[in-house]
Amino acid sequence: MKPILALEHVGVAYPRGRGLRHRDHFWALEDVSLSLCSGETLGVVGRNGVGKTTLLRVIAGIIDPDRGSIHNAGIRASMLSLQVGFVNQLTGRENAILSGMLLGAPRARIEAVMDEIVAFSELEAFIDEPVGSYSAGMKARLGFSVAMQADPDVMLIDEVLGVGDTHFRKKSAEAIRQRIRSDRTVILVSHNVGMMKDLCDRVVWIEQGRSCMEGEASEVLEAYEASSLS
Amino acid sequence: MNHWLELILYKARADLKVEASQGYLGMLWWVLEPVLYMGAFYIIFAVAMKRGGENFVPWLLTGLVVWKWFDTSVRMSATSIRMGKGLMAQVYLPKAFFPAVIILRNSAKFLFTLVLLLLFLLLYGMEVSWTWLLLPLVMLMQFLLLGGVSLVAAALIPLWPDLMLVVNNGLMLMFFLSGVFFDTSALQGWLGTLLRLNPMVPVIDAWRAMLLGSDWPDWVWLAWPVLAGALTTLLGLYLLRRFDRYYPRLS
Repeated sequence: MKPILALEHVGVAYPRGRGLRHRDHFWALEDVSLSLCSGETLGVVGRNGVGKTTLLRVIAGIIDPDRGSIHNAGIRASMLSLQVGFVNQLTGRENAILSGMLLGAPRARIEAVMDEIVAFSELEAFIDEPVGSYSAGMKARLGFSVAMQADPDVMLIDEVLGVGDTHFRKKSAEAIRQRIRSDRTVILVSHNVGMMKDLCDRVVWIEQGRSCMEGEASEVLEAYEASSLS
Repeated sequence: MNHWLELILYKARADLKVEASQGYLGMLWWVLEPVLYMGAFYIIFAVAMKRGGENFVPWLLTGLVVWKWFDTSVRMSATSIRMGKGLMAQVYLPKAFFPAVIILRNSAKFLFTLVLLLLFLLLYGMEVSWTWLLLPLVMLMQFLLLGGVSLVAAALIPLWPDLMLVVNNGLMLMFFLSGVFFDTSALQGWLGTLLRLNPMVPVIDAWRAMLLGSDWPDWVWLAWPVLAGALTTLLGLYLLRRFDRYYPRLS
């Protein structure tokens, strides 16, 4: 199968320090290669601070890599970000439109699915109130419901599985699992090896900014677990 | 409609709504703020310094209102990309989004202030002139100029934050040299020529000629701000595109 997205030897350097002097760099990503096929769920595993978030930013097109190349077959990848661009003084409805548009959905589509957003977030009585009056849980519910409707070609998920109170946490985690299991294309970043075994088709293992293994989920995850034990 | 354009319009409208809902007086500030601003200059120049002559007050207020539109747009645009740091770390946005929202927002507020100014002029005893019909054209020329300068400022300040000091002082110098307080045509020689290099001078003169003097503006002279506006717009858009995926890396 032909990949819809491929990264080859991608590296990203951040400047360290400001000013005219002391302009050195630190490589957040050194050398990462991976490929993604339509409909699959690719896991990215690695310890804290190995550049997983930077990697997702590169894939989402937020930053350009300093070296290596990206081949994109014309797809739009975006992170599952919650409460993007929320403004406290605006109502839930206005924030849903604003946030949805920031996530790339046309305004007409968000308005068309507004009823679903309201129903899923269980905010029927509050949707026309300013979100500044919402509790943290209510905001999280609205943010999640909007993000789920954004529907990019490739969804990038960074550890957010389940938000809000116990009841909604279950419901949102279930919705995400469903989305991942469907024939949508997803890249999932997580520490939770058990969950990744369950959800991912293939996994890339990143160690100190380099992709050191890519393959079948069970195979890579076993190797990863073995290395973390030793 | 283009997605980004729709988003810019929606965000600008939302920001205006937020602005109107803040403070106890809310939208009343849109009236009060320009009145206070103009009042301060009126006290300094008309009362304290006893400057004046016929129609000095409308002449001063016109200059101030027009200048403020330019000044606020450039200043706010200059910091707009830094303010949008959190947003652009989460989603991809063409970076012109940030200054564009500011420019539209300020332009809407300017239209509001302009209506107030026209009302004031009528109350003051000015007569409506045919030249008022072409005000939108001059407005469009100024929009082009302030849009271009704002885009360039928005593109450069995140790359060199130190430039903000240059922008602040540059705007102040431009303000004092823009003829808001004095008649630039009175200055002759090299100083007068130097002064006219400020592209806001022909714009302010045009507003005054049409609003107060019932004259047609000097179209030839207005070519300079239009040219400067077109060039800065192109440069600003080019720079914002060039560093589009670099800005999110800046701390």
